[in-house]
Amino acid sequence: MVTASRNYICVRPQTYEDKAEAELLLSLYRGRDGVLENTVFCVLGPDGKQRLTKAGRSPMQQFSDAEAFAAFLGKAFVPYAEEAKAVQSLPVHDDLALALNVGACDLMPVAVLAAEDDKAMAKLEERVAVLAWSAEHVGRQHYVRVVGEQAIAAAKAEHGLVLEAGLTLVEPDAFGLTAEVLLHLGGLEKRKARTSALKAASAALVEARGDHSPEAKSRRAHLREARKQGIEWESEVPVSDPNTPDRKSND
Amino acid sequence: MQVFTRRSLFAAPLALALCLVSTAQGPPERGERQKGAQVDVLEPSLEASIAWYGRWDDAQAEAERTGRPILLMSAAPQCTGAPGIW
Repeated sequence: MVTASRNYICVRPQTYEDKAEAELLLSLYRGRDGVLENTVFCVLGPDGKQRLTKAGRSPMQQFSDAEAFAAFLGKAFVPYAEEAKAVQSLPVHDDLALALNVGACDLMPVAVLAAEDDKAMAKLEERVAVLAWSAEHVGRQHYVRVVGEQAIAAAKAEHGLVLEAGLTLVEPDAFGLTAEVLLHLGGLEKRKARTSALKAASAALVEARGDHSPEAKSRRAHLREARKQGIEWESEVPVSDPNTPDRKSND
Repeated sequence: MQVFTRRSLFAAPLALALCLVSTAQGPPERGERQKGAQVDVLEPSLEASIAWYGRWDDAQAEAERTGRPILLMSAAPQCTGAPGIW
């Protein structure tokens, strides 16, 4: 499945976190009640419009198992294989709170890119993107950008993260509210010896991920602890899935 | 059946299903194992996962540039309002 996915541009919009994306998801799939449900699945052509599968809640509705789905992905990619170019852009979030939350959900570290302005961030992203799609790093960490003094200060105030310009690899806590720094790599965008600098950065990232040791997560214990601590996530768009129980009613 | 040992496209919908099941049933007492209940543990993986773009606009632009098809799977990073779990 993971191998088959590498031929595709994989996107996981976070449902209920962006109004425009919510509308896009609704245009792809509406449940029986006509509202946006928690998950939406579809395979699309490069134009983002042509549907290569039916849209639905999950690939499980259309494929018997992961192997069957992987086989479909392999076959569906054939017409595009000859012309397909290498993926280059960094798969980066632009909201730190959301990125830490997603990292916590996936039990995965988050590489926080910090820069004083958009120009410096563009250089940093370009450099980090080379690492991101390399065999050592693809699919092993999430990325998020934090731009400007105000945003860097907010990272400290809201998440306890002290950021300096460059890449900071962090391990989110169980709820993704705070994070522990595993590694900081500064000056990536400024280094002249690109190849050797990136090679050193790559090795340091691999080593730092060795310190990433999230605990296994029990769903029930996690929900119980969230209730106990009064931790709640407020989504940008109201949760509309008719199958989602009211949390308070389950206390 | 341990369903959370692999990060895959099949994990998020399963996680959602478990989210609904676990909240509907309420937490079990210590040592209790409900008949037919799924193990609800998400374990860290050392294996590489799918490399997800987090935003549609970025993904669509890269798909158009590269001529690659798009695999879309949205998911909510919360379960009944609790962050940190699909």
